[in-house]
Amino acid sequence: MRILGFIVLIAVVVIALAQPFYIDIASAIIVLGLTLTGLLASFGGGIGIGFKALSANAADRDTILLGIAVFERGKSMAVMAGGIMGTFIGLVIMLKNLDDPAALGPGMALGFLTTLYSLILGYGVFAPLGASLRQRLEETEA
Amino acid sequence: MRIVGYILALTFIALAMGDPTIFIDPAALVLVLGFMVWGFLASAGSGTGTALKAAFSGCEKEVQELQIGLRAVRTARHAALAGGFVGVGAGLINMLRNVDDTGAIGPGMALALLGFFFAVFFAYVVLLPLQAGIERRLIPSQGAKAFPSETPLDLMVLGSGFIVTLLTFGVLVVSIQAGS
Repeated sequence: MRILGFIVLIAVVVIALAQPFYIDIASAIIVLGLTLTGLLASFGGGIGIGFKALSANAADRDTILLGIAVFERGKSMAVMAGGIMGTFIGLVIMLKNLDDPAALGPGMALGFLTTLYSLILGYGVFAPLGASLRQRLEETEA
Repeated sequence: MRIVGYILALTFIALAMGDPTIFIDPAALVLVLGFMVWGFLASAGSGTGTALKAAFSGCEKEVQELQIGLRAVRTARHAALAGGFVGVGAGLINMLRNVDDTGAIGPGMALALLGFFFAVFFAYVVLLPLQAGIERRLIPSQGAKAFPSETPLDLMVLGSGFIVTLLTFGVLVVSIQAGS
């Protein structure tokens, strides 16, 4: 069922955002990069173990707990470190170029697209996976 | 690993900024750093050295020491966010006071935007990895209680970010109309 839900998410995102002006490589790099570097600084090699907790059926309690920690803190890092930082960097760049209307575009695009991408990554991908691992934890402890 | 993560994160942010000098605002920086350091010191008290060691060294420690570090880092994060919000409030008041003079709203707007920016930077880019690193080492002894959900705080910061963004645009439009 998880695969089905993921396909629905991808379909919704593609249908809603299938316009060329929603695609900005710089914003995607900022969101993904800041999420991954934050996870690297927090967990080091534990990221791989956290992702393995998703697939293994007989994962033990500590692995599942590490997985929950990776996904919940990864959600915070994606939405806050990626999204809000990108938004405010974009706003400041935009305000700096206020007297040149042609240069407003890139800053504004960076500002709003990082928010968009970070919400999809954080609340669309990481939060549900963390919740599914919490469910698995309750099942193993019961 | 931690050093590599921090250096890469700073590289990404510097690349996104383009020209980092426009992001330096002493008032906002002092406000956020002051709140953050005060939160850390007040929480750790006489155990400041222990808390720093628990936060920055990646090796295993006593549960007691890890808990002192966790509490100090978490308090420092919340205090940094509060410092940023103080900057936002002060900056918006400053901005609205000068709303009929387009040239004078700059410093207030810089304080509001960069206060929020530095608060999120220190709380989520610098301190959240430290907190998560301590929580990971507390998992074997405390289980799921080691990392409580931070969703309410996240949603509050997210909502404030949208409100600050909208207010900035509003004041901008008003001041441009007043100027023309």
